[in-house]
Amino acid sequence: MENVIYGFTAAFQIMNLIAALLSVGVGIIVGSLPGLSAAMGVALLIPITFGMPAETALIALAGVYCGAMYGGSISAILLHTPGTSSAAATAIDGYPMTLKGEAGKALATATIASFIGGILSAVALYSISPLLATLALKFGPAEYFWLSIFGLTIIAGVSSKSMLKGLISGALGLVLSTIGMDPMLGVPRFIFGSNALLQGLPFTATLIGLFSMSQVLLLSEKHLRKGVQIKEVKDKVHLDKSEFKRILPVSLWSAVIGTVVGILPGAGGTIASFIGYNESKRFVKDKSLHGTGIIEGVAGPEAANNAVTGGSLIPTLTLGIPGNSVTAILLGGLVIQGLRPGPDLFTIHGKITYTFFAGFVIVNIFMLFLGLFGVRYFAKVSKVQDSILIPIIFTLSVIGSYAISNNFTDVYVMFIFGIVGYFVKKMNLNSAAIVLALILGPIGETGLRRTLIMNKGNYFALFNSTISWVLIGIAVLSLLTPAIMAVFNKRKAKIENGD
Amino acid sequence: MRRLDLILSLVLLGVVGVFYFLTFQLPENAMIYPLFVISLLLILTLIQLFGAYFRKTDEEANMFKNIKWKQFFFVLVTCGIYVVLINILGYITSTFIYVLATLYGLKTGKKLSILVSVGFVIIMYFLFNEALNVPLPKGFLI
Repeated sequence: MENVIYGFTAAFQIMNLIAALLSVGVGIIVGSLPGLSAAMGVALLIPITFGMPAETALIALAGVYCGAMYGGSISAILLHTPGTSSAAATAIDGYPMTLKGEAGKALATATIASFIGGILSAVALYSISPLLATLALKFGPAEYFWLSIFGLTIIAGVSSKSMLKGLISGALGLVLSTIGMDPMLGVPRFIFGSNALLQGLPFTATLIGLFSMSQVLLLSEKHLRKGVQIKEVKDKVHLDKSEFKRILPVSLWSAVIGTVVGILPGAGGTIASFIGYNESKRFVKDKSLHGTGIIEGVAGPEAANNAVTGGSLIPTLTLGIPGNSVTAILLGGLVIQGLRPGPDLFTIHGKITYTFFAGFVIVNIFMLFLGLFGVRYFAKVSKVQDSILIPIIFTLSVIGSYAISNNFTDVYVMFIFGIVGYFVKKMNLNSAAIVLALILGPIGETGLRRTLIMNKGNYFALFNSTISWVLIGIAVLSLLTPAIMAVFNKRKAKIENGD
Repeated sequence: MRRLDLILSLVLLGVVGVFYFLTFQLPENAMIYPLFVISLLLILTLIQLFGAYFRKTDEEANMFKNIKWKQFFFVLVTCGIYVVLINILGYITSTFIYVLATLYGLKTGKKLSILVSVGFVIIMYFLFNEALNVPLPKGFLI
């Protein structure tokens, strides 16, 4: 409790407030620009936050994450082009509202629902993460091995398009994670004659390549978007009392779902927002109204995708298992600050963590105000032409990858992974799976080899504890989930078709 | 048409080959784990290869249709030249040249191109040098 109060007083320091405000603004801009993603924004921000105190840096990263999650709704509502994939469901009812001249109302709904989602997920962050972190105290090397295996099975879930390609991406990530020093013997592996690779692939540079530079190439292969004609926001960005009462239950329920989806590694904003949209149908009597432009249809997905933010931070901070690409990058930012996920974050580094949590709440409050009062201006930003975005994103990618260790090798690594990332996307492989494997590979390897050394090569030592068995159980479950879901959906479709 | 999936499998097999070759140069007890993950990638790639060989449709082929190759290579090559140029001219000068050239090449319009590149370079200089204290790469210019 002491830490919680300390967190709020520290988060209200002027530096942290400025960081929160600016980063939310940047996040909203990144989110509202179609083609730029939250992952890209966070990846590019890491080097900038590098020199800041840890808590300020984390608040800034969370600000971009939350802002981008919300910002996607602006272009979904005004342009029918979701700024991020998480906002795709928002467009279904959001854009018809704009066509009816209710763009302001739709934006206000998205803002308020996102705020409710964010705040509710903050409650989960406060209450669940310390408990989960205590559990992590009981983890030995064998448990960490199974934890990483569980994390890797998530890849099957992350890759909705093709499980095989998801697994290939994961295996490729594992292979890449072996680059660098052998963790037990100190022998250099696969460094291709470069001493800079002794520490392994530079994580941030790899990420910036995979998520930012690849985006530059993807933008440049298409017909470039010139300044689009965006629909004017004619009405007030405002909801009256009765409208607020209509969206409150939808938003609360979707926020709960979004938080849970966020905690489950592998799922993310996109899945959450579609579930949120479906759930919003429960709250409207006349089902035919959905898709014609009703506020419930905007509130459902928006509350859900912003609730993912807090939820997804829980496994990231406590177990070091990021469920999506944004939290994977955030985890990278955490490690750069010298912080390791796990129980230490809630004891030794408790002050930093709780300042970050309080900052997360503040970020959401700023998001509410910026959304309600500034959304017209943010909407104008989504007019920026692609031809301007291309060189700007690339120069930021270069300086971003350089700044971490003032080493130009990192820039070359970024460049190579930019090209790799482009083909990864074109070939339907999965960058998030590669990143997940890059993070989990070393955890699993160290866990496995330490267990074997401690038990003189006895493989049965891996199965000695209850926690290990629980982890094996949920790993199997997570591997089977896509198959189970497929059967479930087929049945549902049959029932709906009246068969 | 499933050429692209076949090409992907072959590229991955190439990666597997390089890593296998390097693994066998490691001391024996350092070999086990890398060998395990590389074999994992090999097995999955072989499954993919067989799948691609027997499949008739090729979704990926559509992904490479309607690409503006000229524009794409222009961006890729300018990016490459820019990275090389930074070491010679320094970050600020080469960024200015790169941004201006890219904007101009992508037909942004003269006025806007100059405005954006000058404005951007000034912001970057103050943001990184003054506000964030991140040293920018230097060459014989700034």
